[in-house]
Amino acid sequence: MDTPLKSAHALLIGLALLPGCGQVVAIRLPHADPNANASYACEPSSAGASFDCKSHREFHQYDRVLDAGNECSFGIAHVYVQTNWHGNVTLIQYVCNTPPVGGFPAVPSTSWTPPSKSP
Amino acid sequence: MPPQHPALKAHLNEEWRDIHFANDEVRCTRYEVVPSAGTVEGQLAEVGGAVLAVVRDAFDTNQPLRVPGGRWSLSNIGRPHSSLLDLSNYRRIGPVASPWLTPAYRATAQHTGVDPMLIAAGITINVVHRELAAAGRALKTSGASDGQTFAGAIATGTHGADLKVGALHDTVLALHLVVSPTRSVLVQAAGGALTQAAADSLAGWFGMPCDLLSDNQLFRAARVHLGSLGIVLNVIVETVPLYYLSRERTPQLEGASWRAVLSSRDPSKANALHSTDPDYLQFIVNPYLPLPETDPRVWLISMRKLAFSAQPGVVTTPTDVSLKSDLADFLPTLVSFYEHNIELPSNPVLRNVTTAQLRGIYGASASAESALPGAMFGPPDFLGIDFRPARGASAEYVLDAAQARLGVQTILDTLAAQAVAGHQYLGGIGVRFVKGSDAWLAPNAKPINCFVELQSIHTTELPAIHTAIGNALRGAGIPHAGHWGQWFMNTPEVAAQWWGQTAIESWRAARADLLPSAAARSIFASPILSAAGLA
Repeated sequence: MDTPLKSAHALLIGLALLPGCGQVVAIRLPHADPNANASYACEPSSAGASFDCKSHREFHQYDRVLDAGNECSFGIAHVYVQTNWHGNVTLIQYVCNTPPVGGFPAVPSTSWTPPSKSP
Repeated sequence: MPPQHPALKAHLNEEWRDIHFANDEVRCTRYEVVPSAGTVEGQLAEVGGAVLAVVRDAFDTNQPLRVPGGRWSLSNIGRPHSSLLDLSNYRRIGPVASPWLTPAYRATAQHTGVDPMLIAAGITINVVHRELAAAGRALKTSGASDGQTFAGAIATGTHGADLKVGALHDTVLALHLVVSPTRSVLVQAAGGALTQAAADSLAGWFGMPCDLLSDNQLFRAARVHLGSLGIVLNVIVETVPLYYLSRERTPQLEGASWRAVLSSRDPSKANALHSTDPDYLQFIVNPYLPLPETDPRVWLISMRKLAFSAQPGVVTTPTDVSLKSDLADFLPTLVSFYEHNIELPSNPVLRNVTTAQLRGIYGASASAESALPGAMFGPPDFLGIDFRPARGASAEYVLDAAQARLGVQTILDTLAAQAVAGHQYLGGIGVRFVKGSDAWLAPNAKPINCFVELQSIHTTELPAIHTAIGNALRGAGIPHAGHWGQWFMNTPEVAAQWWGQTAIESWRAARADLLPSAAARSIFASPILSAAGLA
């Protein structure tokens, strides 16, 4: 289950993907108030197809802004950033989050009332 | 007036595509169910109310309604027309309450360690694996990959390679279907495990009447429902104590003994290379003679289920790519062949690349691994990759296991002949054995079934290749059918030969029973029904 924090984490991957000669893209989540004390940047891991994320690095300038996730009822789960050989961003794709998995009521209900016609 | 409900969010003009890009894009309205109440009971009532609002609108406007599921199918079985009911946010799983079960079932279950679970049908299989493992439970079996929703997996007959259990739909105890704006049904076998209390509870939770239908004819239809018997809201499935899969994988040269295993009347016992009495049996086959010829042609894979008690060395999370059973990760390299328009006919480079790819994924020497089911059948790595302009394709031929050797050889011979004719196949082959099912339209319709899966790039030559394979199988006198979620081949003629007219008419009769009006059947009909002669 991806938490909102992890989702934000994933967003920073997009920023880290961009080389110096490319673009910096700010990805903003709707209804999110940033925590100025918690900023992470992620760089490609030397171990394989993953990223190492470290704190205390911030982007102060960006070329483009994406307000992402308005369509997502539960935030964003994944972000994919595609760049061309110039290092410029050509496509950003994001996937909405889902709510946590829950259980069912412990004691089953034994009665029901007909649903109203107009909820 | 579009459907209105506080827990419903309408997304207009959204794109629908399957994740393999096998179907053309469809623009439609997605109605997302967004439960937000502060209590479990409140959220279940929201889900029920929102579903009924959308179903009522479909009936009022006489418009087709589909549930998007995991968008995992390559066939058009899940292809929407104009409206989608998105149940992705209804994510619940939990043990079935004791009063829901008959005393006889409870006694048997306690003895065998089986525990039925209630699962929101829109949860994907990978989440089910994860949540069950956390509770010390496991599905009895599942498919080779795990991105399907539970409802979608059983709708299409998703099967894996289980010789003793069968397919996922063979582990289902009951399905909770919404069949109209005023009715839901809980369908189980005659003399089934569930009591009236189960239907009463579901009615109360979701705010909709629920009839308990204990009927073999309906149950055999509902388990492989083709997404056409109403909205599958919940499924009750039997789970077992958490096990891990101990896998043995052995490469074999072209001339080695693998064909003898295929031709055995009991393939599970004919594989002398591995431990006896495996639960799963599978082959990976290079579609071409390897280049170099000293490379393996085939990998024999068998697996046993063993009780899990946190043994060291058992992979528990789906991150180890070496465990992948699905062939899809094999495809991205082949995309570049297609995109760069490399001359394909009889191209030795293609043979060389295919050989190297398979060796890279499945190894050049025997190996053994252990993993939980959710790790062994984890997601393929290609998710997120845009295959365009090339598209993914997968065709799965199911044969009677008694004809496995002849069938596989017929397919290999056809691929070789097609390559010479300039129709190069860009993919791999998986062969899996699965116990039979009594569900009317289950692809695993024979006592033991041999599934031959061809996962590939969707080249312009591919339709001709599959037409040739179908003709060759018919010419060799090998009845066959296809997986409902993959390359469509279940024409009325194929269906009649594989399932028989009785099974087909029984499935249609069950559909008419659950959905009495022509309008209702039209609203819930998958586009695949017309092509299969089942509408």
